[in-house]
Formats: sequence, structure tokens, C-alpha cells
Amino acid sequence: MKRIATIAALWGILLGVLPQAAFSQKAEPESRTIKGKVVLQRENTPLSNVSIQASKSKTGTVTAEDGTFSIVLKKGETLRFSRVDLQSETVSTFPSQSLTVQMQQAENNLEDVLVVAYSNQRKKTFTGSVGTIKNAVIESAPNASVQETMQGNIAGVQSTNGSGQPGSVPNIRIRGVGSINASAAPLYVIDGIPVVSGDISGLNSNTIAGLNANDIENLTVLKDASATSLYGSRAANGVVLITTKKGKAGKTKLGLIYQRGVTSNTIREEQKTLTTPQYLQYYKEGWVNAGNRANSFDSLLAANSIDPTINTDWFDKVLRQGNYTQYNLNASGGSDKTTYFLSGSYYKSDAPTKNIDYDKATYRLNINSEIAKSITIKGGLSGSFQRTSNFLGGSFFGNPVRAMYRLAPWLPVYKSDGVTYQLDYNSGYNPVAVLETTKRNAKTYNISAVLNPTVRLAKGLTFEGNYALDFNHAFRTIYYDPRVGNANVAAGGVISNYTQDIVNWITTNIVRYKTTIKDDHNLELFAGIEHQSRTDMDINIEVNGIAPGTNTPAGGSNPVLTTGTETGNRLMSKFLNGNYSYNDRFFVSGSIREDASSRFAKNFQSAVFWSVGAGWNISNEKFFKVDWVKELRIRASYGYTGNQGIDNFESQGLYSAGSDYDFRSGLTLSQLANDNLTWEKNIPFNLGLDFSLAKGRFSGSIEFYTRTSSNLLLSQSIPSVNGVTSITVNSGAMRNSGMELTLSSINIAPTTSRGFKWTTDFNITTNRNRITELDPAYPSGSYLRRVGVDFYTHFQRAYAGVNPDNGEQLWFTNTAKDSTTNVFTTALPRQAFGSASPKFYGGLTNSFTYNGFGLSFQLYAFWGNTIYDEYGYLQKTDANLGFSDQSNGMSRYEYERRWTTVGQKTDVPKPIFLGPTAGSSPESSRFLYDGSYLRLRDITLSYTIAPKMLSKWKINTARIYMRAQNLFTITKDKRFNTDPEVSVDGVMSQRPPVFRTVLFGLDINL
Amino acid sequence: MKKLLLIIFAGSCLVACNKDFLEVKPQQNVLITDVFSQVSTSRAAVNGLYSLMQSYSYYGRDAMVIPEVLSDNLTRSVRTGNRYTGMNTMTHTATDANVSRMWNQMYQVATNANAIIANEENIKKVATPLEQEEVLQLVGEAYAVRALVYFDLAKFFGRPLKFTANGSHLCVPLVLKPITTIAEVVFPARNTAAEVYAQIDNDVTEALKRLPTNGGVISSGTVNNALFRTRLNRFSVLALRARIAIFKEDWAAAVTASTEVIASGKYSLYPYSSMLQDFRAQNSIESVFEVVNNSNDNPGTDSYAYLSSQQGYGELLGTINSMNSRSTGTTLSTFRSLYDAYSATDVRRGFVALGNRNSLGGETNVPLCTKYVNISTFQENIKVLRLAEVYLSRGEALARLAIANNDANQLTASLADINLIRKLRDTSSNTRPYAASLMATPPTGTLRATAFVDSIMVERRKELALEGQRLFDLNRTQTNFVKINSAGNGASRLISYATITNQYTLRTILPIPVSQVQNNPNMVQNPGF
Repeated sequence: MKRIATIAALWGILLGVLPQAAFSQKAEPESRTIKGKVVLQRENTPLSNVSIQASKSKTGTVTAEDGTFSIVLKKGETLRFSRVDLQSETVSTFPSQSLTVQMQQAENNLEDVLVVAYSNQRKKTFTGSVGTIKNAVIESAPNASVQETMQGNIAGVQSTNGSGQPGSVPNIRIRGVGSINASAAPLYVIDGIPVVSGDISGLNSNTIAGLNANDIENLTVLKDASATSLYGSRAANGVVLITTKKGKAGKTKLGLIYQRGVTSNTIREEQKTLTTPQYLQYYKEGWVNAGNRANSFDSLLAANSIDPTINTDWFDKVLRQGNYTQYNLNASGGSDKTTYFLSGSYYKSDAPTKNIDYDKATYRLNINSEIAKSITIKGGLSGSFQRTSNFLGGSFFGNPVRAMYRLAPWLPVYKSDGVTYQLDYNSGYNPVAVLETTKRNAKTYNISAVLNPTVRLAKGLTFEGNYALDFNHAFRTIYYDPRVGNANVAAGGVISNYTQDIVNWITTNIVRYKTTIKDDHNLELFAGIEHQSRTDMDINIEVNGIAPGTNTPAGGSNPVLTTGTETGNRLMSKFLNGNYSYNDRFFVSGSIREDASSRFAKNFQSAVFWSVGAGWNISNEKFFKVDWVKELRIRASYGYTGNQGIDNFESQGLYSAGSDYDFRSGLTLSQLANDNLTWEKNIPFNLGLDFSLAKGRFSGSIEFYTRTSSNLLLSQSIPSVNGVTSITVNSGAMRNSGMELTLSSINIAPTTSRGFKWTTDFNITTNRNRITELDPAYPSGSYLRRVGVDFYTHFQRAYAGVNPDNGEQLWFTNTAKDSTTNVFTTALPRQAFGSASPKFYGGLTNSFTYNGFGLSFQLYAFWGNTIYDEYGYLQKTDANLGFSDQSNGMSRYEYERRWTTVGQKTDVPKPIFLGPTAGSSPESSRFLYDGSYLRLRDITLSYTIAPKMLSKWKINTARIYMRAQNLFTITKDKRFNTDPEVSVDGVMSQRPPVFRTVLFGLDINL
Repeated sequence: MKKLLLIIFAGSCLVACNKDFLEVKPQQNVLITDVFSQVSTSRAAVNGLYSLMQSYSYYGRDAMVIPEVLSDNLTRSVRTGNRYTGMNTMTHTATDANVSRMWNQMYQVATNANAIIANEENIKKVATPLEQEEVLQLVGEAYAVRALVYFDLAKFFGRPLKFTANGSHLCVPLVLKPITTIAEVVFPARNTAAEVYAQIDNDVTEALKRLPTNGGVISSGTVNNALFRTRLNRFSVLALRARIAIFKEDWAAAVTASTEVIASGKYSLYPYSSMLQDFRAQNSIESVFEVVNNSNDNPGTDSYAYLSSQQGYGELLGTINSMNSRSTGTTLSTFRSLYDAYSATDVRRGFVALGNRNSLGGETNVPLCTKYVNISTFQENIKVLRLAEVYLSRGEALARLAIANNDANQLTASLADINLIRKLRDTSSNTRPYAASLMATPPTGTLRATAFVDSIMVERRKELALEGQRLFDLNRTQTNFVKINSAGNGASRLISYATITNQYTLRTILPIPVSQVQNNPNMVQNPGF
């Protein structure tokens, strides 16, 4: 029962508020009896066994089952309420009537205490901007990486999966894109270690996915200067701080999560490509449209050896239903001196695209020991093992997704014998054969060890060290069968092995000082020194001519690649941070950090980053007496952070090895020196308002921000007569600004612990990006890169639709868009179109619980963006290549809408066999789509078994549930042919589509 | 005590990190400032030049293929990818990716050569006395490479020298100084053809001054007799000079240079019986300069061989008439411009032997392009210069001189060179040698020009087909040709040099890549693009 209350409380904690304290003061008698009740904050569930202690007389009592108590108190005394799992409260003013004390959980007190850079801080004293996710959302989520769980759950954080490969790197952008060429990904800090993030195997794997999300105690996203500037030169894109769980003294607890399910595609039937009858009908029209007689079409089919009885469904050949599994087991407990947390997990998600498989196993041990009176040592050790399989992507013939969209349905999978692969098309890459024979696997390992001593030196003065190793290892094996694919046939098969080690050391030493002067002035200071060193080493081997039956490079007869590299970078930093608060009303903070990085030029190797912030708790002012407003706080911050996200030696003039000739080593110029290359500057400003209304049942924040990035690390195109085609300079500026709104509400509070409860969480983010300064010669490819436009503004020739009179496609020839042409090459040059960035995105979560039943669902909206299908012009060729084996990506939706009769208004042109656009690469806005979608991102239907039924099994809680992700999606634009969730750059690129997962789960706590 | 130990431990971490902490050196790169401070790294920089030429954007493929596609020799199959689509119909634009890659690659070669040339004295300073001769040769090679690459740039992106009377038309920008920091970046304008060709001649002369006179190649301190075909030596530079002279119509210089190559005795012509195999072999007897492809160092699927082989992309075919089964459902026509230029007994016909396009619905019984075919080990060196061309160049130069001078001796010498190649490639008794009567003196008293010179051009086409020469021979002689487009809607075009402003004729040279016009305010585009 207690556990149930605890879990229920997790939901309730969201709108954390302090115990109510009246401001009025009255003359008090010498001694009086105080009666009252202790309840869980917000939930009002009675709390028993809370110990109550008077401050001087040392009398004490405990609360009864119903939470009530009674105690005699002398004048001037205060009462202290405590229980091991709750935050202690001290009450100094007492109403004449019954006293109600609200207490909150000591653990998982996310709302009140924030994990921020190098420290923890009470939320109401914090002047910066952060976002957090509730543990209940992170735990047992079916995502491979917690990064995906951020989608729709934190305002200001855009999380997008570029592909439906589980465990791949999602695109995370915090408050927009601030950089043109340097990295736009945030810094990840796990238990104080700025860890290696991204793909280190070359198969789109993700080191962050190696973290078991169920181990996460706290995830905080730092968004503004006050929050991030302590990370200095790496803070510009925001910081994701993750703290893992620690054990708690007391009885050993065991937790189990078991989930099984399936994955399936979100692609609708009408998004698939044509069947053979549709295809041939389409081509027949094209044949006639090209001026031929319909009755000669059959002889054309014969001449092209097309068998109209073959009807291959390539979607069916490439897609499948995948399996999903997750097990997680953890144990925690300990004594007063030493506690531990131990966990192990296994996760497996096979995409509903064949050969896209992923699984991982993780282990973690966190120990916390008080080794002497003033010394505690925390130790953490974790290991993870991830396995990824995929296939070639992009425009490669060997990409089965490409083949799925492009191959004609009249192409047979097998020769007439029914077993031998037909390899006479698609350059020999029959996708079924590719899927059968190709093996591309990567294993990614991580071992992280952290040692974290804390020494209390004197009152208020502590020393803290953090010494960590983050070791990452990747091993990739690729096997291309000698029978499949012309290149592989010619090479006699290809095997390659690649391995990379990344060793990331970090030492941090911090001295903290904390003091309270005259009760009202609180000062917290800390200063630190940090060194980080990262070394990357790799080896890459490739052989051809492989012996039958062999799978390693030893089986190759012809070594074609043997290489290995080493690189690294180092960072040396000093930092100082101060927070001052006055009477819980005014707050001021400041931080400063000096970073010196090996990446930058000698002249500009170090820089100083800083921030200032201030807050005002209006609701703590005496004059503020609005009953329905429980809390009101305003805060602002400003500062300077940096981005050093470029290559390790980008400032140096270099010749590169590897340009060998005739077995002799060669060197060629690869990079010009820039002695002045330095950090990107990022100036964030944040203004926030936090409120809590109706006794904390309704709370939220609204924030306005700007983020000005300048001195951008820009790859500038120079005339290639200089020997290189680009140089890296500090040039250009960009600005992001926007609004974030987060709301949380208990719509219906339960009257009993299993009563009806309805909560709503909502967040929405808008971001406006503008390039504010850029070299006018900066090249625009498929994005317009000019001052005054959004960074991801699509740039294409303007498609004018279809001429209703004759079905020909038209392009505009002027910007006024009143003149058109049917000759692509004479169309107007590229024009700006919508942006890949959304106008807004956000999540709405509703949770209902009643008598053990729970229903929770999250709707996620991503709205107002534009997607470009970069292979559209090669897929949708309107029959202009004739009976080509691989140029038909038209969807059935578009097929139904093609122009067929005079006067028909449509945007799908008629086919013309060997038509006029052949050979002209007609990339245009025809292949731009409205990317807006609304998705049922997550839905869970659960039943929590009544504790009475479990007690004889010694089970504390048990919950069974059905859960689904991406169950249902509404897209605004029906024309495109895959899932609407594409990479952050808004490009659809023949990747495995993002998919849906449906699972059954069981969570048990002992 | 525990406290003390901990603090000592923490303190030791601080001490371990001193100022040198930030010194991280690149491990697979050499700082620009260090490259020419050793002979070994300077050698590597010269190897780098050849390696850059091996790229598929230069001799590895595009510089060999583009002049053939932009001519009457090659055309794209109907079953094909997206390579050379614009060029195949003479509609390529300034955004063509192959063109910009080639421009970038060629200038990368030129700038890397610049650095070696500019550091001649620095390398000499660090070289031992025994190494001095090798250093001279290394710098000589850099001059030779620079001459070669600027000549190629001049041919691809500009009209021949004689296009205007004094060569005053725009050619390519000459960048001759090394650039090492961003402060030195240049935005040059295009030089005139006269200036560019003068620089090319200068570089050839400087190269010849430095390269060993015996044609040997010193590698890592010792003379290595195996390398004279794969590195530029005195005689390959002379063969280059002959080619340049032909293009400049400096006939006397062409005769002198080619005679010296032939007289060196280092090279001999492929015999009839084994020409097909010999051509593809590495370091074969006729090869004067070839760029090495090894099994572990080659352009792979981007290679010329992969583009040609029916087991690879196989999408380039000897010109065939556009009427084919795919677009009409009727039988294939048999007009094959290049294939039909060879007699049935001509060994070189084997390079364009008839076969089937290895792709469902592809052409059948068409000339396949097979000068380079090895796509398993790629061990076929790209022939840049070979002896047959030297003979044909001398033969042509002599014929032109004979016409100009009305000199019967020169005519006889010319006939000897041309007939040598003609009879060697086609030993059938049906193959008649060209006779002096072709240029017989008519009653007016001067030798007749056209017939024999036209025949020499046909011999050049047959000998050098698929080797990146055809377009330039057409351009310099202003010979009209029919560009056959098989993959499109069947339109074939007569490219007539009489109307040089015609949009298709303008496309007999390449556009300046659009990026280079955009990022350089001094750059002027070629007409028509």
C-alpha cells in the first residue's frame, strides 16, 4: 500500500510546492497543543509514521495511520517533520485551527531539486532554463535511446529520428540550429562525464543508446546561458545532463520490467508503388502520349522482354513485421553507510524493414559509501554492448529501400526455375538477394568508470573530485557476397573489418563553499579545474576475392584497403560559479569558465565564457496575497557560450597521407592554415515565468528566448585554383528565438489512493531561425543560404503544376509566377520554399487512473515544416526513361491523380514514354511536401494489481500493460510515400522508415 | 588521514596536467610547414601528384571518357545510370558535377606541383650531395606534371591556341605560386590562351632541364629502370611536347620532339597478334606514360574499367544509331560510326567488339567499350602517352609541313610513319598503305592537303579511340561530326564548327563550373553556358 502511494506520488510531484506557511503572526501562549494531519503534497494522501520533533523540548511523536498527530509545543519552538523517504519539513508558524503539513518524496524530487552543471540546485533558486522528463516517462519506454523519449516531452528540444533504424542517432536540436557547418548536437554528460556521443561504428549506431534508460534517475536538458555556460566551449548547442540511480538504505528492492511486442510500418497502402497492371496502364498511356499507337504497345512489351504476368510487390519483399523485447532487472539497497544500485538489461528491436536489427545488453553498478565521517566515495561502473545490423543506404544500388521504391513490378525476383536469383537488373543488386546475402553488423561497446569522492573540509566547505574513464569500442564487419551486385561479382566478394577505440579521460576537482548569513543571505560558491583528453584510434581492412565459405578478411585473396588512423583533442578548463539568494525572494547567479582547446589556432587557443542570471519569487513577497496563485516566479539570464564542434586539426595547414602511387607513399595538400580560427560565439538570453495555481494543481512555465550565434565556424567555398575547395573561417551569424510553454495539470485529483485521477501535461515550442550574417558567396545547394532566411529554407526550381489542357508538367519562368514553360531547362533558377524546421512542435499527454486501471496517451504534433524528397526526380520520372528497370517510385495515391483527360486539374502530370525531361534531372518544388503531422506517439493501457492480491507473493507492486508507439499518424500532405518523421534537415532519403511498436509489458517490484 | 590521502590523490591529477597538455599533433597528416623540410616527405609530395592524376575525376576516368562522349566515338546505353547524361546530348551545363570535379582535381594537381617547384631550394638545402640529382628530378617531374595539367585544362576549358590569331581568347587562370594559409587565397581571372601555352612551354623546358638526360628515374636514391613508364621522364615529357606542339600547330617542334622519343629506343609498338592484351597490361612496351592502378589503389567502381565492363556499369557503347528496340519495338539499325571505321581485320576493332548490353532490356549486338575491362583487380594502368601517338603526330606534322613547304621528302617521311601504324594494326593484305599519290602534285605545282590529312585524322581516331583524344582532334582541326544520342528520344546532331556560336558547337568545350564563377568575381564563363 505504501509503495502504491509512492508510485502514485510520483505523478503528483510534478507541481512541487513548499508546505503552505501562513504569513500572519499572532501572539502565542506559552505552550499549546498542536493538532493536525500530514499528507502527501498535492495528492492529499495521509502519511503515517512521520516523526515529529519539537525543536527545543525534544518531545516527539509519530503520525497515525490516517496521518493525524497531536503534540504539545512551547512558545518559540518549531516542529520538524521527517520520514526516511520524505523531505524533512520544519514548521514555525501555526494556525489556530488544525495544522495541515504537506510533505513530498525525498527521492525523485525532480521538481524541487534540479540537477544542473556540476551541482544540484533548488528549482526556485535557479535562474536558468532547463527541461526535465518525469522518471515515469523514461522508465520502461520502448525506445532504444532516451534521446527518443525526449520527443514531445520537453519544450525546446526537437528530437527527430532520421531513420527507422533502432538505436541510430536521432537528431536532437535544443532551441534551434545555431551553426552552419559545425556540429549542432548537444553535449551529453552522464554522471559528470562529458561522454562520446554519436556513431562510432559507421553503421549509424549511437553510443548514447548504450545507456539503459531504466537506470536514469534524472535527465535534465540545459537550455540557456545560466544553465550551460559552465560547459564553456561545448555548451552552445545545449547540454543533456543525465544522472543514474543510486541505492537507498533499507530493505533490498528488486524491480523487473518485461516487455514483448512487434514492430510494423506506418506506410499506407496508397503510399506503395504501382502494381504491374497499374504500371503497364500508366506506361501504355505514356506510349500513346508520346505519339504512338496503342496497339503497338504489346509488341513494345515483347521487345523489352516484359512479362506482364509478373507482379512483384517489392514492399512486401523488403518490409516485414519485426520483434521487440525488453527485459530489465535492478536491485538496490544498502546500509546507513553504504548503498548500492545494480542493474542489468536486454533490449531488442528489429525494425519492420528486413535486416535492420538492433539489440543491446547493459550492466550498471553504482556504489555510495561513507568511508569516514566526512568522506563519501561514489563509484560507478557500467558496461553496454550494442549490436546493429543494417544495409547500404542512399543512392546505392545495394540499398533495398531504394530498390523497393524504384524497381518495376514486372521484374522477377527469381529466374524461371523459381530458385535462382534474377540478377540482370539494378546492376545485379536484386534486393531480395541483397537481403539474403549481405551482412553488415556493428558491435559497439562502452565501459564507463567513475570515481567521485566528496570530502567535507570545514563547515560549508567541501572538496569534490570526479575521475572518469569513458571507453568506447566499435567493431564493424561487412560482407558482400560474390554473387550479388555487379561490383561484388567483379571483386569476387568484399569483406571489410573496421574497429575503433575512443578513450575519453576526464578529471574534475571542485571546491564548494556554502554559507548562510543572518538566515536570509544564502551564498553558494564553487570553483573547479577540469581536464579532458580524448583519443580516437581506428583500423580499417578490406579484402576482395573471398574464398567460399569464409567470412573474415583472412578469406580474402586481394587486400584492397589497410589503413589505420589516430586523432584526438584535449580541453583544459577552470571555472567558478556563484549563487546568492536573499530570503527566498531574490536570486542572483553568475558563472565563468575558461577553456583552452587543442583544436584551435595558437593565437586563439583559449577563451572565457560566462553567464549572469537573476530571479524573483514574487509569491514570497509579503505584499503578494493572491489566494489562487501559489507560486509566481520570474527569472532572466544572459551569457556567452561556445561551440568547438569541428575537426580536431581544422586550424592547421596540412598535407594528408593516403594519396599513394605505385605502392609508394604520397602526400597531398588537404587544408590551408587558419591561424585565427576559434570558437563560435553563442549569446543566449532567456526570460522565464513559472507559476503554480489552485494549490499547485495547475502549474507551468512560459519562456522566451533568443540565441545569437556569431563567428560561425564556416566552411567557405574558395576558388579551387587554390588547391582546396573550401576553408574554415569564423564568419557569419545566426539567430534563433522562440517561446516555450509547459503546462501541467491535475484535472481530477483522487480522493483515495485508487480513486479516479486525470492529469494533463502539455508543452509547445516555437522557434524562428534567421541567418543574420553570411558571406554572399556562400553556396546555396538544395537550401537557400542567405541573410534573412531560415537555415533550412528549401531551394528548388518552382513547379507550376500540370497544364490542364494537355497534362504536361510546367515550371515557372518568373518570380511573379504568371508565366510557365514546359521545358525544364528554361525554367526559372532555384527559388526559396518553406523550411525543414517546424513552425511549432509539442506534446500533449493525458493520463487517467482509476482503481488500478490506467490509460495514458501522448499526442505529438510537428507542424509547418517542408520535406524534400531528394530522390523524387529519379523515382517519379513520368515514364521518360522508357522501360527502365529502376525509375518508378510513383505512389498509388499519385497514380490515381495523374492527368488523363483534357481540363483535368491535378498536379501529377501525364506520363510520356521517353519524354522530354529525360536526362535533365528535373529537380523542382514538385518534390517538396508539407511535412506536418499529428501522431499518437505513445499510448499505454495498464492495470496495477491491487496490493492485497500480491502480498502473499511478497510483491509490492505489479503492473501489466499494453503499450504502443506511433500507433496512429495523420499527415497533412497525402502525396509522399513514407513515414513523415524524417531527419532534421527535412530530406526524405530512401532510408528505412520510422515505424510503430506495439507491446505487452509487465513491471514488478519486490 | 583518509582525507589527506584523497587530497594528495586529487592534487596529483592536477600536477600531471601541465602546459603541454594541449599539444596534440596530427598523426596521419604532415604540417604544410614540414613537408619540404625533408627529402622523404618531398618524394611523397611528388607521389601525391601522380596519385591525384589517378583519380576518376582525372585520368582515372573522366579526362579519358568525356572527350569521347563529347564526340562521335561513344554514346550512352539505354540501360544506364546518371553519368554523362548532359554530355551525351551536348546539353551539359555549368552545374555538371563531373565537370566541377575534374576542374577541382586538375587544379589540385597544379597547386601541389606549385608547392614542389617553389620549394626547390629548400629541398636542395636538406638533401645530401648524393640526393641532389634526385631532387632535381623531383622538381623536374613537378614542372612536367604542371605542364601536362595546364595543357589538359587549356584543352577542356578553352579553344585551341590558333582559335584567335594571337591567342588572345580566354583560357584558364594560371596559378603558379603555392598557397598555404587562408591569407594567401587568390581569386584569379582567366589568362589568355597565349599566356597559358607560353607557361606550358616554359614548364616543359624547365622539366627537361632537370630530368635525367638518359630517361632514367631515380627513386629513393637509386635509379629504378622499372619506373620510366609510370613516372614522367625526359622522353615522356618530349612526347608531351609533341602532343602540345600538334595542338598548337607548331609542326616543326612536333617533328623534333617526336623524333627524339622514337630515337630513344626505349619504346616499341605493340605487335598485331597481342595488341589487345598488351594494351591492357601494365608497363607494356609501347607505353610512354601511364598512370598506375593497383589492386589496392584504384578508383574501384568509379574507374574507367568499371564504367566500360559489362560486369560493371557497362553503360558506354561505341556510337550506334539511336533507332533501337527499346524505343520503337523494331529491329536495331546497324549504323555504328566508330565500329565501322575499322576494317574487319583491324586488331583495334577488338576494343569495340560487338556484344550484348548486360542488363535486362539492354541493347544487343552493339559495340562495347573495352579498352579497360579489369574490374576484379583493376590492374590496368591508364595510358596517357604511347608510341603510336608519337608516330602519328610526327606523321601528321610532316604531312602538314610537306604541304606548306611543298616538300616531297617530308611527304615520304610522313607516309612512312602513318603506314607503319596502319599496316601494323591491320596486317591483312587488303590493307593498302597510303601512297604518295594521295598527295600527288597537281598541275598547279603544290601538294594537295585535304585527302591525306583527313586520312591521318581517321588513323588517329582508330588508334586513339577511347583514350581521351577524339574531341580535341575534332576541335583543333574544326572537323564537323555527328553526335549520336541513343538514350534520349533519338535526336542526333550535326556539330558544325562553321557556326561556332551554335549552342551545341559551343559545348565542344566545357563550362567553367558554376561554383567557380560564383565564388570568384574575376571568373568569366565560357560563351553558351
